[in-house]
Amino acid sequence: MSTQNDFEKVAAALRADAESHPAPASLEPEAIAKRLSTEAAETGAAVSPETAAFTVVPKDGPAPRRTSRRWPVAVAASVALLAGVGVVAAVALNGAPFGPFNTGFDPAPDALPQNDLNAADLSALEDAADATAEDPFATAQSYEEIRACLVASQEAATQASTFMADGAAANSARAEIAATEMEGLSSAKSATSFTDTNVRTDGVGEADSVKTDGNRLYVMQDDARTITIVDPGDGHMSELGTIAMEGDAQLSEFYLEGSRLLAFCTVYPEGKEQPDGTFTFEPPHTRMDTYDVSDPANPTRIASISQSGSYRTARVADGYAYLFSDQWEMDTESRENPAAYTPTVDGEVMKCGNIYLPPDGMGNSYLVITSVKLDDPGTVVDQKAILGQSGDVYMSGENIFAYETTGQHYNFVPLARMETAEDDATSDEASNGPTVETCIRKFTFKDGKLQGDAQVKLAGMVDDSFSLDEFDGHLRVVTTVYDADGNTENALYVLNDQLEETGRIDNIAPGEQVYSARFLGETGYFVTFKQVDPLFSVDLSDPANPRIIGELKIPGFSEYLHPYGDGLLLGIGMSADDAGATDGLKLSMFDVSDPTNVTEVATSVLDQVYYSDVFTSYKAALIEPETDIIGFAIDGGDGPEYCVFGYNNDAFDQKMREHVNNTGWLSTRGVRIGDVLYVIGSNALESHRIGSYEKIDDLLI
Amino acid sequence: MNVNEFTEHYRLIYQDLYRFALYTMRNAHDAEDAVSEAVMAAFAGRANLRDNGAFKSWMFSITANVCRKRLRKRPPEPVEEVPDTMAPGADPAVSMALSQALGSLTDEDRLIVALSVFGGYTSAEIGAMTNMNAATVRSRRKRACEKLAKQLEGVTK
Repeated sequence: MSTQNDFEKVAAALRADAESHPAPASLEPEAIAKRLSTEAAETGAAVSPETAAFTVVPKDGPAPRRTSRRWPVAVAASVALLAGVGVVAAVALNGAPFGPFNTGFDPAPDALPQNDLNAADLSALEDAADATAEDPFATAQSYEEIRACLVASQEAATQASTFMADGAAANSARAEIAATEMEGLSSAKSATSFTDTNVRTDGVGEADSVKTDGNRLYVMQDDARTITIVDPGDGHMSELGTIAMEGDAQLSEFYLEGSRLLAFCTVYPEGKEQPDGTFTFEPPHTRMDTYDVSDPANPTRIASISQSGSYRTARVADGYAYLFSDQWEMDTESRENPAAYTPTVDGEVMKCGNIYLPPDGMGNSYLVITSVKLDDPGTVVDQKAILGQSGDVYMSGENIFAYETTGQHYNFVPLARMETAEDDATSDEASNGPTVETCIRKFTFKDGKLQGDAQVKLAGMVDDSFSLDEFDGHLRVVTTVYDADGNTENALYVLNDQLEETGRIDNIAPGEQVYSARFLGETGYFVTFKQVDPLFSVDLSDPANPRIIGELKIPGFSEYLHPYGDGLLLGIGMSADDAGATDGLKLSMFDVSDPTNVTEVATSVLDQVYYSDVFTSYKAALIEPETDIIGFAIDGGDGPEYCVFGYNNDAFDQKMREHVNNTGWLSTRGVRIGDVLYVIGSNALESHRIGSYEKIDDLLI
Repeated sequence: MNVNEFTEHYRLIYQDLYRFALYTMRNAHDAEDAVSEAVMAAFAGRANLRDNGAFKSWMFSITANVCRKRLRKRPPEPVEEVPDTMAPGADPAVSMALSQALGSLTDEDRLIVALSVFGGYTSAEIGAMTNMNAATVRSRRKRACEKLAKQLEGVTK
């Protein structure tokens, strides 16, 4: 235990010494607030880029669409309480049974005060709740029900003990939604084949920072306001035009279909100074702006929809676009004004019957979902919201699965996670850890109509959206389960179309956690790691009897798995020595033709490279077995680089490794059009001839 | 998130954030600049924070990377000197010992220790924030703490 004492000694000495070193006046919150308000109010203020950088350009365009409500300063304070401490809300959750939930929460709606501001509207909206009374999990019958959930969540938060409910950074390897392969789609219009974004589910489109239709390249700039349209010119690129976001919008990503471009952005309205010198802020809202890009020199915006909250993600399937946003801001003080704590779509309060309540009666954020027909992108077809904790989304070809981690914050890492007994962590706080569970809610989305179908709570936490997979009417989920002391084991569940358990495997790889997963039809693969990486193969052909049929132990671990043609599975991750210390990025090719006897047939290690964008986001991977391209960006410690590997004769073959002139914050993307590879790093584009990978040309936007 | 929200999140963590930067940079002026730069960058990029509950780690992560960047730009210092411009703490002997001890660590090791003490992060979390493997972080932290504890032996209880 001597190492524990060492850390404690050092920590005590540092903390004691730190008492005499308080933060200087310039870093006091009031001083910071002043500076940020000035920055936010000024136009043209540039800020040095560490995470995201954008210059605020003067507003020339038409006035942005704004919600008409005024939000008092009290909102900011209650939001701060909610956001800062409220996320610990679910710590109070305990002992919720697993398995499908019927309504766990049926409070009698309170009578509303007589003098409420929009009583007529209110009752009209509440009457409409009856129309969806058949939902299998609870939708709200009244706004008071919703408000009660929000308040319960706030109260639990203030009572809860001070867990630092804050896990790995937002961009860490565990946070992003993942995707599946793209098979080199060819456009009906273009005779040239090209690569599309690496998506989670085949046939379900996703947005990204770079898109192509085979004819043109569309590239988002790191000002988070502009999309540049580029003529690929068989490698000799030139600019054709630009799209600029209107108003205060910050662009997150965009989607392209035919001559329609859907831009997804979040609007953070500026503060308005009040007579008393304080500032009021309207909360953010999300916009989907549709542009006609048939003439790249003159892109025109043809429609817009907006909803409350900040942009989370989008999906496009069967001619409909689905927009997802997260809303945190709510003011539960105004009982008589549901607009203050309920999602709005195009400025109108959502009917309470469209709002799904959390199974434990507490929630602090909404996932707001709208659907829009691509042929009529200004009209919202359907809208729903889920009140719960912040979570993520997996969309299969048939259903939307919204999942969130409860019993703790979504990104919360219990302080003793992954620490061994001799370790020196501050593990004393972990011994009364809450139960970590994942709540999954299933929605159908046929023809743009969103309908709640089932919900379930499973033990443990998922790694990313590849840890869930729907096949043949069943949902397979692999989780890492934490006990009260932070010890881990892993579990795999098979659920039917009502999310009822049909089969399960418990107690997989105790002491380890899931690093990557890939379900391929009736067989599933997942990687756990502590010092050695078992790649497990699971036979899922019988939903009542999932069985582990193979376990390959190799050093290192895969962060991302991708099928690579017949009987092969590619892993991108890290190489590690016997003690588990990593020493470089590793590509692995697994022969999975016999899942009971998986072998690693080839590896390639990039020494001293510790990070690839693929670890954090599946969209950063360009993998096309047909053209033998494995493309991804890395950080070798000397600036961003882009690598392309091929695989033949049972070996990896490095075809390209080039520095990328990406000085922005956007992740580098590789796109193939015909036999040209375009490496796009924010505003720096380079083209290479596939085969020799000789550089053809470059373009700086 | 707007200025008010951001500030309220910041209020909950700013002392620890500054102290983290202070012991990493070993220079009050540099620490102030680093945190200042990190805050401006974080606010500018706040759209990337998908989850307000992760504000603290996000902020620490950005600050850690700002510190690393600034440390790389510094010329290397001879270990025996005490070049930092931190005012001495309550116990000058301990402060001196701490200062020398911290100076004898590599920049990265110092960052890892400071992140552990003032951020309260595990090796897994630190690994994720700084793109290092958790096991690497653990072993470096262990060795760094052994070294530090030894040098503090004479002066602390």
